[in-house]
Amino acid sequence: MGFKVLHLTRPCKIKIQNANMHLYFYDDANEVKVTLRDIDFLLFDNTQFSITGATLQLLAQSNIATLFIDEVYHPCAILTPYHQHSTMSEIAHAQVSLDVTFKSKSWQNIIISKVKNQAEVLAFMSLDTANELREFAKKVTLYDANQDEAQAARLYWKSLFNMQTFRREQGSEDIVNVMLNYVYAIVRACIARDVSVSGMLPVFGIWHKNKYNAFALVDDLMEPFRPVCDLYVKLLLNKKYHAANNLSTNIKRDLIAILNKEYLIINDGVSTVITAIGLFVREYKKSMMMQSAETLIFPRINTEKFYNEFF
Amino acid sequence: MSSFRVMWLMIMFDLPTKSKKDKKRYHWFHKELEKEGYMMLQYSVYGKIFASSDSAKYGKKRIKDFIDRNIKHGNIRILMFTDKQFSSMEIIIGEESIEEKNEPKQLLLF
Repeated sequence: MGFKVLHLTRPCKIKIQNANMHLYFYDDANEVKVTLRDIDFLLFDNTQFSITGATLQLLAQSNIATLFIDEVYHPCAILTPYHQHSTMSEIAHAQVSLDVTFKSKSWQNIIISKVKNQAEVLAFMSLDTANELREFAKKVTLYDANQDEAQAARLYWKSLFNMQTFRREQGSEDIVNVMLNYVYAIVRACIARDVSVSGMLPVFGIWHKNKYNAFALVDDLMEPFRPVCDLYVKLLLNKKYHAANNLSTNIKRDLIAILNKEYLIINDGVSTVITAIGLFVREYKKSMMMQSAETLIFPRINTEKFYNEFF
Repeated sequence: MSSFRVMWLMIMFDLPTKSKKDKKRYHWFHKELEKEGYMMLQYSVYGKIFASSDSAKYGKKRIKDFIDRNIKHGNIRILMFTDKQFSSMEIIIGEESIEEKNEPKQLLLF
């Protein structure tokens, strides 16, 4: 797997030669060669590009997380590799026959990890609501039956952005929500890629089961990673973009850079967001195959790195 | 990425091109290097960057494996060094290619 993240904003033509991607830019008639096996994540932040079938095929085969955007420059489609794993059918069978014990237990653990990370975010911002969130994390029940997640979220959003009127919404157009949606879309694409690569079917989730959602499992596994995105957006807004009111290319570039930052601690080691995602998804698959929710490992926020970068 | 952890592999080679078969082999080798993602620094000198020395070692093994399959004569050398050392390379005539400048970057912006 690669280590590079590619962000394309200029109109270009993309073709494949000798398993390398050649990008031809119309504006300065320049051609750049990028090796496919080094790329991990590719974001087309432009609708003016032409792409060949061979490119799409190789992007899928090399397990590159690819995101396409819509006319308002928001990620709208993911290219997920299909049938790239040798024991796909075994894994799919394990996935559909998961019992309630595993599902409820693992969903409980995921929510505990998410709320703990949220508490850590608030503690990092020295907000005194952090302790209340820690209490919430302690009492999360099986399947989160008491809706502790929602209660914690209400408190969390209110204190993190310090606005009584702030509402976290998918369709909102204020800068905070737009930035959050953008960075979530990026992280979600990575998880979707890793889920497909490890042979799991994203349709069969643990808790999410909206009939219109084909990525239920991705949305489940994404929860522990949301707080790190929130903190990053919050600090970016504080430091650089407090006057911004729409999503500029610079903001997008800063947001996509999150993938290569060592913001997480997983399995007692510091790792970049993208490797932590890969590790977490692999570990989830392992514990799913063994039907034991106890062995799951969760990412924690590496506050030291945030300190060094933003203060 | 730390410039001490990032490793370069540089491949320098001389292959016979007298007979038709030799020429074929030479082209095969060139194509195979391209497929592996090596870029031409100059004629018969190819380089590729790896995120860690472990992956560089694996890259070296891959190269050795496909050379073993087809090439018996000639002269091929592999050199491994850090990005720090690579960046201290002095270019006397000519200039860096765009790819060369891009290679060590983790975030490629176009």
